[in-house]
Amino acid sequence: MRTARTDLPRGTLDLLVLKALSLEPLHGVGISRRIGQMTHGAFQVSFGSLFPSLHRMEESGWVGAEWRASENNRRAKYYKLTAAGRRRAAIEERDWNRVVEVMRAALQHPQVRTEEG
Amino acid sequence: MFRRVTSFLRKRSVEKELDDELRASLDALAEEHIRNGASPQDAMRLARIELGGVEQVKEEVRSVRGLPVLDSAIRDFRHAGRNLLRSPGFSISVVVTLGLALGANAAVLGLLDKLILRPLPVKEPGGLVALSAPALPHRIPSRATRKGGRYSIFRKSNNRNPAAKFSMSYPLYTELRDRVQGFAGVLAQMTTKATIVAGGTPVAAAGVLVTGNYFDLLGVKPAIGRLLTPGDDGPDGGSPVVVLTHGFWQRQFGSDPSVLNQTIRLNKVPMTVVGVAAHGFAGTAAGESLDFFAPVCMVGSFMRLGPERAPPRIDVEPLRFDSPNLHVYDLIARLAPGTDVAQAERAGDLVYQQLLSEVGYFDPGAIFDTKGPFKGGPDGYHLRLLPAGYASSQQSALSRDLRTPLLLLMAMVGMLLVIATGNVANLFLARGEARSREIAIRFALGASRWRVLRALLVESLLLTLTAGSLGLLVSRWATALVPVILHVEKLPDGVSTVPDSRIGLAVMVLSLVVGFCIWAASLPRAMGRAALLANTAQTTGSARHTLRWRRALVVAQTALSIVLLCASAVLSRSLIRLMHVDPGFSVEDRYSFWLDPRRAGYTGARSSSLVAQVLERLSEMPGVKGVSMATALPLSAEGGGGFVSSDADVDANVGTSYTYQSPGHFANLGIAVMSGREFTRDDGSGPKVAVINEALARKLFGKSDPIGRRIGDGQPQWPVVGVVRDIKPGARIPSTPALYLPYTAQDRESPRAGFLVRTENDVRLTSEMVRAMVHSIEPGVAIEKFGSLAGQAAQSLYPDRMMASVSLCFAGFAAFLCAIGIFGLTSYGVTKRAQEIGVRIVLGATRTSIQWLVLKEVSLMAAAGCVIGLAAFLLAGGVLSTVIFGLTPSDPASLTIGVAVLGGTAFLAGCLPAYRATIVDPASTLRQE
Repeated sequence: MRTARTDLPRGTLDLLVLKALSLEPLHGVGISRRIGQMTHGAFQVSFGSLFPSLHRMEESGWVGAEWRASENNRRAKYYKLTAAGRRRAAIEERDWNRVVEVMRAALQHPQVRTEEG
Repeated sequence: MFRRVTSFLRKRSVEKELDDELRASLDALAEEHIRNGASPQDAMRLARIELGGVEQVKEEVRSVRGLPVLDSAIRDFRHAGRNLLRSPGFSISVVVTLGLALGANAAVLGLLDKLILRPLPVKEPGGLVALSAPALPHRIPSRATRKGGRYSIFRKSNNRNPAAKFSMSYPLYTELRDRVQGFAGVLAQMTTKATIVAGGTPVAAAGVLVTGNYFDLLGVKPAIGRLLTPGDDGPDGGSPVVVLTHGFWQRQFGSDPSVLNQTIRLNKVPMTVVGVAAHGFAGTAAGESLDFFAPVCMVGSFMRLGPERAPPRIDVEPLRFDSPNLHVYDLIARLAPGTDVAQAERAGDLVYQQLLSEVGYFDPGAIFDTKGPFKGGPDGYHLRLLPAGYASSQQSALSRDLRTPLLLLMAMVGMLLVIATGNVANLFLARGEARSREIAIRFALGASRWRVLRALLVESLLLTLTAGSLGLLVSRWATALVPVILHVEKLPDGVSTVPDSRIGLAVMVLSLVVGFCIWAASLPRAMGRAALLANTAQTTGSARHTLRWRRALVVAQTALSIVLLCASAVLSRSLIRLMHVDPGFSVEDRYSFWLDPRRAGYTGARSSSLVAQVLERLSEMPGVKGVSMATALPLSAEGGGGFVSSDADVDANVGTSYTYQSPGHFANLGIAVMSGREFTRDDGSGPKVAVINEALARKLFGKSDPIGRRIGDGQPQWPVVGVVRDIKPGARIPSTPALYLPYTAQDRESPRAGFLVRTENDVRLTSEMVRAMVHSIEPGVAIEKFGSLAGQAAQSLYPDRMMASVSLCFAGFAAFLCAIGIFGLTSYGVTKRAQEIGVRIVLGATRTSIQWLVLKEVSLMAAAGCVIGLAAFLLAGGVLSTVIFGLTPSDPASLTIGVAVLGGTAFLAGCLPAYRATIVDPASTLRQE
């Protein structure tokens, strides 16, 4: 079960966070859990990278934050997407898809295929 | 960016919010674990593990939030401050060492800046150039007029300075102004002195007479009223207006604006005050205070030219401000936009050469007066341009005299700073040794190499910046200290070491540079840390590397100290020689002051009777042992000159000084009469008699006896009644021919009178008595330059005094630092080699051999330093040759003194560690193994 969990590739965390927030506002732990669901437990998000990423995006104005009661009536800091954040999410998603396409094409190119393929 | 700044500023609330958020997250995680069936304690522990450490997360967030660079810099500085406070001995010694060195630098730099480097407070000072060219020679039509034709007036030029500027005449000024391409404008000015009467007391004031374009060309604005304009360039004597400097306005008029349109009397000439120049502008020369500006056409009323002064010969026309023979104006030009100095100099010289060919000086057969300031051939006749926009440009006496001394002191004080830096670097290396464990732990905890290096850099910068601030305080106090060191009563005007913002900035930059150097010099130690981490045992290689580096630092310190010690020894021996030069007169208990009867409106016989009255009243004062007067006193830079021939050769025309004096002046001044007699009261009424000095006697009569021969200007008419000893007004100035005549014998306009009072009363009492007495006789005459001859003699040597005493202080400090460096390193060596020494003692080494073991290292370092230092001094010492007297820079005695002092210091510094080496206890050191 643990074998499938890998560290996040560089640069993907922001995109995943924006994606996770696109449905509803979430607090820090909630975002971590949502990314776990979205990737079927494949990616491990450490809080040591999640919180800096959230605070950076808050400073950049992509996410907003407010304190409100959580599902079990505790105060928690909820993050939600701003308009700028939505635009950013679209740009990041498009960029990511382009990278994936280019990488796939490159890896399937016959002359550079490795012997075991 | 805005959000970053606000979150930096709201740091406290951001921190609080982050703390709350993480706490809430921990709670949420713990609740999950409880839902999954963990106990509450376990749940919290698991939550903490999952979050990965609250502090780490906070640190990660901090590193992206706000202004992380500034944030971490502040934290670094706080950390460094705490660290340094933990070892106060180290910090204090570093700050004091560097503070004193930086303070000395700030003081010398301040003097250098005020007197030489600083741009003048004018518009675009870089575009200003001073013009200098020899006076155009004038043709001598016939032999008859040649006798009386010497009527050119030149400003006294300083013979010691070959680069001195030539002053020019007004016609030459207008030619250059109108004909030279490449100048946006040219101004002419002439400095002068005057007695100003405004209200009650007369004051001696310094001023400058300027052309009307002066203020416009320099770009100076008025504080109140208006400045001089080309409209003020009137005919001779026709424009009696005056502009005051801001300083004079403050001093004399208490900044009262009602001074405008008031009439004040300058040398008895009523002139209207039309304005005050902007604050801070005091002419184009630094270090000399200036009080007023007047139009150049008023030169006549300041120099007493013009019709009321009968020229000595009828064939000479009266001198006016625009006479071609009045070579008194300094010219300053502003370069036209887009013209460089070389172009303008070529253009100017072209015009000058045209003017020269119009005169026909180099025509064969033409006869010219060659007694002008310049006797060279055609090569010397060129127009030169010199930079004029800086404090040193006008070559005021002060910046001229102090230029070389100050540059030398700057070099010395720079070396001192290097030595101090070396010392501190050595301390840092030693401290790095002691802190190696702490640094190793920081590496082990995962601190990056950059992070550790940065922490060390911040520590050294914090220390040097503190030292820089201390240095600025030190230089402020040094102002009070400098006169004490120099043994002068007061510093000349404009000389001050109080730092301003310019110097403050320079010193802070210097502190930063020193901080970087210390950090860089202590790097080898920090670099060795990785090795230490890998190998927990002794890292001998790295330690040996460091030791070599520390030894090199000490050798460099020693070498620089030798240079400073030798330089100060040479300068001190030179000063001693200067002070032992016999001036030919006595200075003890003698006071002098000057009166200018002309400026109070006295002429002819009235002037003589004023002088006689002052002399009589002075001699009646209690405690006065002798009084006399003369038109020239030694050390006063007053008096005039002329030519004299003898009955042996009526065409000899020997240049000599002319001094008119009262009877008894030679005795009063202590000048020995070699043969013949001194003037008596009877000399005034009878036929004229003359006394000459030995130098003039040699020139006029060779070896034959001058007594009873006749001399004179033109016709030999005055019998020589006595020969007196040559006096040397300054040790470096050779004795020159001097002619003395009785005061009553002069037939010209009464000149300035210098009075010499011999008394054992102190300076203040004498000054007050003289002032009260002169005031009771004539309230309208100002007492000028009151002072003791001893003080003036000391003053005349003050550049030498300053160099000798200040360089001694520097050298002493350098030697002290050097001793500390040697002591520190040797003690360290003894501690490190305690085991080896213990083994040697066990094996039967004697005390002497142990001591030698330690002292050998000291002597090797000292010897290496001496050799390098002496070589450097012999190579570079030549720069001293222009300022020392009676010896060469490689003076063997001085070098010996320098080496001996340093050798002694090094030996003393090595003695304590050597002694400590002999009391090493072998048992305890071997047990440590």
